[in-house]
Amino acid sequence: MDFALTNEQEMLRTSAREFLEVECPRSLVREMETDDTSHYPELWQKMADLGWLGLPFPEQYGGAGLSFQDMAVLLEEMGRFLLPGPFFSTVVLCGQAILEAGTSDQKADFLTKIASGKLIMALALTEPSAHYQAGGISVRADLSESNYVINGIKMFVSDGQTADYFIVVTRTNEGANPREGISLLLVDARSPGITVNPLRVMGIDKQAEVVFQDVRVPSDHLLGPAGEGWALVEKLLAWGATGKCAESVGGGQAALDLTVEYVKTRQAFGQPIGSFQAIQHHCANMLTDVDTSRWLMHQAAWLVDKGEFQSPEISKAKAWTSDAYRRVTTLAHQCHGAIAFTKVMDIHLYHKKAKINEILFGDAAFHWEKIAGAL
Amino acid sequence: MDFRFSPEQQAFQNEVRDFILTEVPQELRWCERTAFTDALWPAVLETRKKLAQKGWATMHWPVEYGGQGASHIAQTLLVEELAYWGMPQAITVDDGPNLIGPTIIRFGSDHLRKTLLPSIASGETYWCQGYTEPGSGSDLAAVRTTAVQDGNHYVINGQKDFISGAARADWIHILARTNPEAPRHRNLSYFVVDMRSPGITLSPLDEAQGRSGMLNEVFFDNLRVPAENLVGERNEGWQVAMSTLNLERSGIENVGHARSFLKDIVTYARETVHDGESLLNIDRVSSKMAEMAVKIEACRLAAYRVAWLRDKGLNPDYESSMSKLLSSEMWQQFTDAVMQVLGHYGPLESDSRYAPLKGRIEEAYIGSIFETIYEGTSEIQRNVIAQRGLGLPRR
Ligand SMILES: Cc1cc2nc3c(=O)[nH]c(=O)nc-3n(C[C@H](O)[C@H](O)[C@H](O)COP(=O)(O)OP(=O)(O)OC[C@H]3O[C@@H](n4cnc5c(N)ncnc54)[C@H](O)[C@@H]3O)c2cc1C
Repeated sequence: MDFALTNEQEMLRTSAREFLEVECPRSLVREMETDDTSHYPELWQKMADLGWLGLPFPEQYGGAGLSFQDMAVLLEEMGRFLLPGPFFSTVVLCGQAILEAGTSDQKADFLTKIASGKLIMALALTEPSAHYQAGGISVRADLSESNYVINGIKMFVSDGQTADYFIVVTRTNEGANPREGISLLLVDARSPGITVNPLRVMGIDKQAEVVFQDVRVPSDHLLGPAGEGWALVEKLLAWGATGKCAESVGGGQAALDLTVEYVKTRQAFGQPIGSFQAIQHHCANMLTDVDTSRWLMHQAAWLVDKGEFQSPEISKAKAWTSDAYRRVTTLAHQCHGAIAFTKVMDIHLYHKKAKINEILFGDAAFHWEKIAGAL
Repeated sequence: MDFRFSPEQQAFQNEVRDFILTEVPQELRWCERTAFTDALWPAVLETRKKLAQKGWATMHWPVEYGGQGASHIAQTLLVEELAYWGMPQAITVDDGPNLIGPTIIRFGSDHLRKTLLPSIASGETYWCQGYTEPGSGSDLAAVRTTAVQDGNHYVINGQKDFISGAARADWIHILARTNPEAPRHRNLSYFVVDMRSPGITLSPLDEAQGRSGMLNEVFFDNLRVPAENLVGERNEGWQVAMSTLNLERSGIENVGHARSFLKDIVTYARETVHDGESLLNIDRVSSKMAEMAVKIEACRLAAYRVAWLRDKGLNPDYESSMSKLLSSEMWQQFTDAVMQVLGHYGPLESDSRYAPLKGRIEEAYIGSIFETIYEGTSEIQRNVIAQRGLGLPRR
């Protein structure tokens, strides 16, 4: 066993922190909370220049060829700084899916554009049923000559309002098993028949409803084999869940750091409130939650790199971290008292983010069921 | 023992419900975030006056001060019913009838009783409370605002922080330091102050919950207050304030809210079908709701016990802390449980057309965080229960 980051990972972390400290100040995060898209093109281009937008792609597509464990290090810092915008959707989800399942033409086209900051993508997976099981996929894509014709509604599409292109998870066949007959399609967001309705959710995340009405997509826009797309969705769910864990670890750590700093200085009854055992116990619980989340997350990322996307350890990480991040930010609020009720402080941003991350790619109850199935 | 409402109390409960359903504008239901806006405040004021005309606002006051001498159980029932229908705090736990009125009755001079109680009883004045300061939250006795006597007046200087409803208030009750030499707890005096006095300025705080103008910083700059506005004896304001704050600590409001939400979320779960199965048939959903029903019941009894103690003429002490602690934490767990049932639909903001339960949950979830902060934090309530309820040593 080895619980240490590699030297390269340490360097990535340090440079990410230094960059985000300057380029992603809280003033920007607060501004993006009320922005329609939370996409900030100037920052996006800088991230492309740093090589972040191509981080997991091979060099031939302008990427850096790093592992998912390296990605987790970066995502943790992004979570710490509450980086707004479509990085997760574009790179962690869509980019990796194309790298995994795309044809060489698709890779050359999409990955190069993503890495250079010229293409923003979003994953259109969940539907009004709002869960992550294969049975929830009912958006139809019917083959008509050389086109797929898509009809139906995708809901809670992260960054749906910003994306140039979608990966749409569709049903092309009704099989006996809901996992059969699922196909993923690469769809231009400006295709006729697509309507994007932004949904307002708490915090900095942006989600949209995406309605498909007779949207025609050339059949060579299929990503991966027709009818066998669920295997790729499962990989997407593993990247998504593990990636959200990494963000949550960073956010939880930030909320803890802010709290520890505050309770050392805030005075009540002639002493710093951090000297009261009630407050110390809160902080101890927060640290325990953050530390355990971090190791579960790193283990999950390590399994992803080994290709063990089905491992229950990934579900364990997401189940635990979903609740832990929420507990940590709730306690952070509790230790701050009324001051964190105002927008002068940042705790509320983490608290809202924790709820969003809890739900994305399955909450604790969803993953407990998966774990139970594997016991 | 008897845990039912009497027939009269049941009839009263029905009467209150009918009143809310027929005489209170619909838009006042679940409007905490917007109650203080120009759009809603006139309706809030109007409803407060109607409650006063019915005699309900001050029903628990003694008859000689314009009350009905009603039981605290009945008054708690009133608040529970108002909360059940989502009335905002400016109506459910109105400071005037609930806190400052009883304080003036107990500690105030005849002059204050004569001049202030009628307008409170008629719902014409709206009161806010000014205790917290930047350096004095849980540690209330650390108040730095000073009041220096100058003939028939006190001259007050200082700052109060996080004052709810200050921008709409006609009056404020405050603690100020009147004897800098005396030890803590013996140097404070309690004043009532007309918010329109020169020397008061407000500065609204930008709230994380999205309400605006609701919480304010209140500044006193050479504010002159008539000496007769002192409530209780000079330098004995601590005792008066403790009595006021103890009146505030009841959990019944959150019980009313939670009972109403529980009914709606059960309906939602029954009607929401996933893959051919109603959500209510999923074990973890139904057992979560059952767990919440248990918590609500525990909180409800804790709150009514406080009322019962008051009716017996006993002075509830740690019992009020217990009620406040339990129900504020219940409300946090409850809103989170509802969020979990709603999944992706939970965080939708209230104006979204897809937001379930009429968009109430996102606001309630964020707002619930502060229930365990104001009116005394959970840590302070636990200290009170341990020290005053169990006699455990102070550190
Ligand atoms: C929505 C809202 C509305 C409010 N409205 C009003 C109002 O109308 N009027 C008014 O006067 N005030 C109001 N307040 C302020 C409220 O009363 C204070 O926030 C509260 O008393 C706590 O004080 P504080 O925020 O300064 O926290 P602090 O006292 O600084 O406490 C910070 C943390 O330290 C803990 N702590 C402090 N002392 C101890 C101890 N001895 N042992 C263990 N833990 C301890 C607390 O429990 C808390 O977790 C409001 C607050 C909010 C959030």
